[in-house]
Amino acid sequence: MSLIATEHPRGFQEILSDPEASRSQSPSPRARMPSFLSLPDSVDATSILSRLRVAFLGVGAVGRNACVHLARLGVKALWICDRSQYKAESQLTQPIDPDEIGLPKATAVGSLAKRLSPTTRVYVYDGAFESLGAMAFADADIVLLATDNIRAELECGQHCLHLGVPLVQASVHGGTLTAQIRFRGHAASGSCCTSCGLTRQEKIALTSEVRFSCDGSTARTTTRPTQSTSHLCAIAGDMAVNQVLRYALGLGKSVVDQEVEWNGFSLQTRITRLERKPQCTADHTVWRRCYTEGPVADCTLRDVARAAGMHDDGRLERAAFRVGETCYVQRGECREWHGQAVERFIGIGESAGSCSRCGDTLQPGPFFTHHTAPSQLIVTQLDRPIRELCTEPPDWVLVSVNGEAVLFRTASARGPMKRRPGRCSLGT
Amino acid sequence: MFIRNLSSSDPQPPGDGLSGLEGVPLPFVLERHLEAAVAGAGGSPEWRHRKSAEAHDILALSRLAPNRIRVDQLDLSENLRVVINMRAPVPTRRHGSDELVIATEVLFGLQYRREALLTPQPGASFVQILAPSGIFLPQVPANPPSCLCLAPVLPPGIRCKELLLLTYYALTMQTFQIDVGDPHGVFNGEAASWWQENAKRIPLTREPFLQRRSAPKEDGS
Repeated sequence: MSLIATEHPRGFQEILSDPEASRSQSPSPRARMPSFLSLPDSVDATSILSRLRVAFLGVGAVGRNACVHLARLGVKALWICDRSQYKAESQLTQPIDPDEIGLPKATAVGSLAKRLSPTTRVYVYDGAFESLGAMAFADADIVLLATDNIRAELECGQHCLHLGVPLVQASVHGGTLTAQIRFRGHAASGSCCTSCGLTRQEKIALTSEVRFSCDGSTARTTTRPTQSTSHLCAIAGDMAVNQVLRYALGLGKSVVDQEVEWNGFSLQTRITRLERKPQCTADHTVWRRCYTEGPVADCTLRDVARAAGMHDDGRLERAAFRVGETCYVQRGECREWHGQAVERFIGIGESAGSCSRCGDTLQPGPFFTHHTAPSQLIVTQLDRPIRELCTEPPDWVLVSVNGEAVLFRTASARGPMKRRPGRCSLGT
Repeated sequence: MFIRNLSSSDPQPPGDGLSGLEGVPLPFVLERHLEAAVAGAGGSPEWRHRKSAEAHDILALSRLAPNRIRVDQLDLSENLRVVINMRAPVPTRRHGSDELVIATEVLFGLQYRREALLTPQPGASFVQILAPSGIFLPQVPANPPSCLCLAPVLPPGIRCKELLLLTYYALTMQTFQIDVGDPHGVFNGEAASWWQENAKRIPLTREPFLQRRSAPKEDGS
C-alpha cells in the first residue's frame, strides 16, 4: 500500500490513506470494545476515544507498541515525532519487519497506524522535537513520551507543563526487568514535571550527550540505545496505553500524578505518588489559554495584555511578551562593526535587516536577543499590530507577569475539540 | 542602571572561596542597586529568587575584586542581564593589521536565560564582547557578533560567578583552544594558527581572578 504525505504546519506531514485502501472496509473499534467496569452504560467508550488526540515523542521499542494500540482503538488524531531510523538492532527490541530497516521511525509507525485506522488523522515528523517549537503538541489531549533523549524529554515536558497537557512517560530498565509509567497531569503549577523526576545520573548524562553547532542553533544528542528485551518494552507500551485509557474514560481511581512500576522478578506492581520537587529548576507556570476571533497578529501587544488582565495597576510595566517562535532583537551589527537598532521580533533563520551605512546584513547579538521581551524594552511598539513587528505573522502570543501567563492563539489554529487546561473534557 | 562600586574597603575573599560569596555583605550603594534591580525583576518567584542570588554573587565578586571587575548595568526584568567592565589583558587586532595590541580592559554583556537552569547550553550563548572590537582570540569570531565561547557545552544550572571566572580565564588565555583540528572547533581559525605560532606568549597573565593578600605575620612584616 502506498501512502501519501501532505505538508502540515509546524513541520508535521499528514499521512493520507491510499484511496484504494480506504475503499476496503475497516472495522469499527466498537466491534470489540468491552463494557468497562465502573463505566456507566450511557457513556460510549468508542465515541470518547474517537475524539481523543494523542501525541508521541519517540516511537521506538516502547512507543511503537503504544501507538499501534491507540490506532486500533480508533483515536481521532496521532502526532508522531521521532528523529531516528530503524537499524538492524531495532529488530531485537521492537516488532518490526526486516524490510523496515533504514526507514524513519515516525513515518513507518504513522503509516502503520493509518493502515490500521484510516479514520485517524496521522501526522508525522522525522526530525528532532526541539526544532518543532512550543506549540508542536498544543492540540493534543495527551502526550506519550517514550524517548531515551533526556534533553528532548525535558523540553517536551516543559512545553506540556506550560500548555497544561498531561504527559505519560513510559520507560524500562532492562537489567532489573522493570517497566515504569509516570503520568503527569500538569493541572497546576504545583504539579510535578519531567525535571522533578530527573535523577542525578540523568542530569550528568544530559550534559555529556549534547553537542552544539558553533552558532549554538542546533544540538546533536547522542543517546545510548535501549538495553532491554522486546517483551519488557512491549509491557511498558501496554501499561502506558492502559493509563491513557483509564484517564480518557475515567476508569477507576485517578491515574494523574502517579508512577506505576512493574517488576519482572517479583511480578509485583508498585504505585507511587508523584510530587513536585521544591528545588526543581523548571518553570512550573501553567499557561491560561485563550483564542482570538481574528488572527492574533492583528492585535497589538497592549490588546493582548489588556485581554489577559495584565494591563492595569502597574502590571503592564512588569509584563513580558513572547511572540510565536521569534526572538526580540534589540540590536545587531554588520561585518564592519556598525551597531544599529533592530527592534523587531525575528524568527530562526530570518534576516535582522541591513545596515543603514553599508547595506551589509545585520547579525543579532546574543546579549541583545530576548526570547521573552520585557514591556519596558518595547514600550514604543505596544500599540502597533503584532504583524508589523515581525517578518512572518505569528499564530500565538504569550503575555506573562510574575509567574502568571496567558497564551493567545488564532482561533483557526484551534482544533475541533479542546480540553480545559488541567481537566479532561473527554468524559461525560 | 549604572552601578559604581564605591566601596572604599577592600575585603578578603571568603575563607571557603567562591562558595562563600552569598555571605559577603555588600556596601550600601551596591545593596541599594541590588534592591532596585530585584524590585524590577520579573518571572516566577523561584526564578526571581535565583536571579537575585546570582546578582548578589556578581556584585559580591565586584566588591572582592574591585580592581578586576566593575558592574556597569544590572537588569533582572526577564533574563539576568549584566554589563561588566573587566580589567584584564585582552589581545586585539585591528581589521587589516597584523599588529597585536593588548587591551587592558574589556566590556562585555552576560545574559543568563531561564533555560540555562534546565538544559545544557552552548558555550557561546552567555557572553558577548561589547568593546573593544577586533578581539583576536580563537574563541571569538572575527566578525560580529563577538560571542565568547567558554566551552563546547555548559552544564545546566551553571552559576554566574563560574561564567565570570571562565570569561576571565578565556580572555587572558589561561584557558585556551588553539587546535583548528579539534572536533570542538574554534571560531577564529586565523587567530588559532597565529597563537599556535606564538604559543610562548600564552597566557597573557598568570594573575588569578581573585588575589588573596597574605596574612600579616606575627612580627608585623
